[in-house]
Amino acid sequence: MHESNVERRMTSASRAKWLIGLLLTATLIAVLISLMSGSVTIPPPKVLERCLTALKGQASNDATDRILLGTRLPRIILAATVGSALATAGLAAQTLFRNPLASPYIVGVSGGSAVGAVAAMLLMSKVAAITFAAVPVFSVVGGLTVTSIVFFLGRRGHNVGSGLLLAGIAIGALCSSVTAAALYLAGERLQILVFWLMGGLWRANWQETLWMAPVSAAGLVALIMLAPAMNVALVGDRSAQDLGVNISRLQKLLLILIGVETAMAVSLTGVIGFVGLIVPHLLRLIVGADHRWLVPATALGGALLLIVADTLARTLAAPVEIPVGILTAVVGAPAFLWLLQRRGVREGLS
Amino acid sequence: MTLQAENITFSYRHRQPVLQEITLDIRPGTATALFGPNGSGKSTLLRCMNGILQPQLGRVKINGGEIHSMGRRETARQIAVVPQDCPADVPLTASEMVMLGRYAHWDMWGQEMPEDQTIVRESLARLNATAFADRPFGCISGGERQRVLLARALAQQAPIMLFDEPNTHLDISHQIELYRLVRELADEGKAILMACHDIFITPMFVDNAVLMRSGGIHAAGPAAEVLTPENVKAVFGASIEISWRKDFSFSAIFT
Repeated sequence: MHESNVERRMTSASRAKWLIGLLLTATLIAVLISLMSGSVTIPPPKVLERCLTALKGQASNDATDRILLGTRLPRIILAATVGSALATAGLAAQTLFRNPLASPYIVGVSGGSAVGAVAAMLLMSKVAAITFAAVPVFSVVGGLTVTSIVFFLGRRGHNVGSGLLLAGIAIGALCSSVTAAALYLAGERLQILVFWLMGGLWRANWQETLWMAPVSAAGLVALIMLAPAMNVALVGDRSAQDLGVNISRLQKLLLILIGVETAMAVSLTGVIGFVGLIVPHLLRLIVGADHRWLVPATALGGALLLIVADTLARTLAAPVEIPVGILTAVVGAPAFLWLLQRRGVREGLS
Repeated sequence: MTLQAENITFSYRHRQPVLQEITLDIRPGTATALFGPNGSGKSTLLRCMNGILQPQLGRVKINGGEIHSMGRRETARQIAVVPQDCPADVPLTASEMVMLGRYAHWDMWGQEMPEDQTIVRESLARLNATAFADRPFGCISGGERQRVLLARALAQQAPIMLFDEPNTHLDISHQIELYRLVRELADEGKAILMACHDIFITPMFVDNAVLMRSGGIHAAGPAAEVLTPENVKAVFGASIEISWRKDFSFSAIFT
């Protein structure tokens, strides 16, 4: 009996390691394919050769290099970091709200970030002090505000699960109407705003990538360090405190993490939904509930999903680009409905 | 490790005090049962003793040091709590649940030590819970869940243990098993405080009893001296006379 117990734990851990290895390989393959494809198809050997020369610091700056290193590579890295930020923020939200169906998009945090970003974009032309750098800041403020409101409202109800989702839906709707009002007032900036709102990585450049990457990396490291406490938090606030978790500090950290990661992603790429919901939820079914494995798996899964989605978005209907947010919603909404069917009744949504 | 409450008074948001001037000493090697009707403040007292609630007056001390200056993790290394229940939707197996008891002993990366596995196995074995160690916590019976929660508290390896009505979901034979375990743990040197509803069988296994009534201590001391017909009548409003014999049997007269 004892042996079987140890064996099972080992297989669960080794299965997690195996899956993480698989995700890593798949991500690298996706990066390679994404580098190859586009308006100009570059064969894999050439891609590898160019990347290696660039690593040696001998970029030749011809047309191929400009496409590969100046356009496609930063865009892929932005996709990876945004995908991983959204997915890990989703996992953090699921822990914070103790609800496997929570995600930044569902609970209205993406909407709040969008309001902040739209406000900054509109004010940019009116107030000189507000520059492009203010967009992420406004976005973070909007995101954190909504996270806090939903969290405290959702916590006050007796049925935390449904109370949270309903509060999130209400605030999400409020945010959309504020955004709609802002669009109405946008004038000649309307087209830019609408395209941005749909969610896409078409604006990607090295500068944006260099903003997103540290946020994403810091969030991942923070979440890996919080993973043991997140495991304990599964048993509920009271017992988690008894077991040694400072639950209010954990909740504050998760709140900040969700707000900052989501808002940063939204301010750079618009609203890309469902990544934060589907990725952690799906991986939990495979890896199990141990966050020490679930966190890295989720980060990789989010990166992989968005690289693939963005590659499809820019190649499927080329030369027209499909906003990637539309693509993830088309895949994500049915997947969400399926999850509701599967778990909703049992997990407190009834 | 001695756990002491010194004159603590506690109220939720400035309403009527739930606890009034409670003084209590829980010493190593003794088991103390906490009796009282529903709403008399038993659970609130346990949560104050555990440092989760901060009394407005008085203090709670572990070995002379104030509990409120200790972090949650440090407290959890000193005090283990056996809750009344746990949500059944926790997506963990029974043994993973017990492993959570080791959290307070981990470093910041949450690296499991080899001895953690051994401690988890031994805790499960002591509760006869090995058979369902690998089953999901949500798929075992209420009594089995309670044994898993007990094993988790054992895995915490804290010198002080608090029980919050741990017998609520147990049938009579498992209740007796629980009381035996409590006795064993006290004999091994643990300091134990157990909130409990059963005034008939529990007193045979504990050293001291505390009778609470509307937030205050009505009587405290050796169990047989505390549970007199007068005290029971005053606290519970029930006319019962109980007498315990050395051979672990008791008789009760309901008048």
